[in-house]
Amino acid sequence: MNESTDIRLRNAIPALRRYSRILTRDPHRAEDLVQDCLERALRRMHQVRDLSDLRPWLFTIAYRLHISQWRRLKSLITPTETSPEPIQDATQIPHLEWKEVINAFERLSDEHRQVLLLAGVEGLEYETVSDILGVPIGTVMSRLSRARDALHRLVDQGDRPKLRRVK
Amino acid sequence: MTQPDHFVTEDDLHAWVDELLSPERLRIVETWLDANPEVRQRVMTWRKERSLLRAALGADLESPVSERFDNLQIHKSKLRYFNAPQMAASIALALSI
Repeated sequence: MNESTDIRLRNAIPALRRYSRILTRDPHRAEDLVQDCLERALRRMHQVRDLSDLRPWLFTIAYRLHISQWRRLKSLITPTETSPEPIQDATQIPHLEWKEVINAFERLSDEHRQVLLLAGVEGLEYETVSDILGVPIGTVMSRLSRARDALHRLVDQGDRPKLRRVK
Repeated sequence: MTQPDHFVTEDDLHAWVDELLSPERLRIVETWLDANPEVRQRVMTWRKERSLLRAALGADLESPVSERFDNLQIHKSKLRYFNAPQMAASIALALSI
């Protein structure tokens, strides 16, 4: 691992970890996903010699791994055994508005959470998001639009702790 | 986003929220938003919620990864001789994800 690889990975790993948590909704499965992803990435570092921001590349690997693992998992277990866990314990978030938006975010569909994370939070270009998710850019835009509407509706509903617990 | 005329699309509005508009396009969209205050209200709400989400999820990035990465630095000379799966495992371990 040379100096430049080291720095580029150092910069991208926290974001990879966050994306993995959002993909899996489970800290333990996220941990496995990050490890699998790094393992593959390290074998393919030669592909990204000229890339300074490794996030899109790592996200693409993570997303594809997640999809294939999820398909395998679904064939083994029933959906009731995979109830999603919140990405963060909302009680640990100090700011009330943050808490509201996280609660709303957790209740969105996987597709909506991902597009909000990649485009809104990570600030990636829409074309990059389209490459990561393997969908046309028009699909990214319509998902983003529906996701923002859905997030706003949920934030607007305000604190309804009982609803949040529904899984 | 790439409309050449003064016609503002839904995609333009999202690009406004995500600060992805070119300076020329931004001027057109801003002018259009001036004439459509109810839409400006909507995109400002989206932008506010985007900022809140960034801030709230930002806490997830601030966990002591850098400190753990320092551990990785210490072991870097050893890591160089590892194969890829071992190296990935060591990184994950060093980060204690």
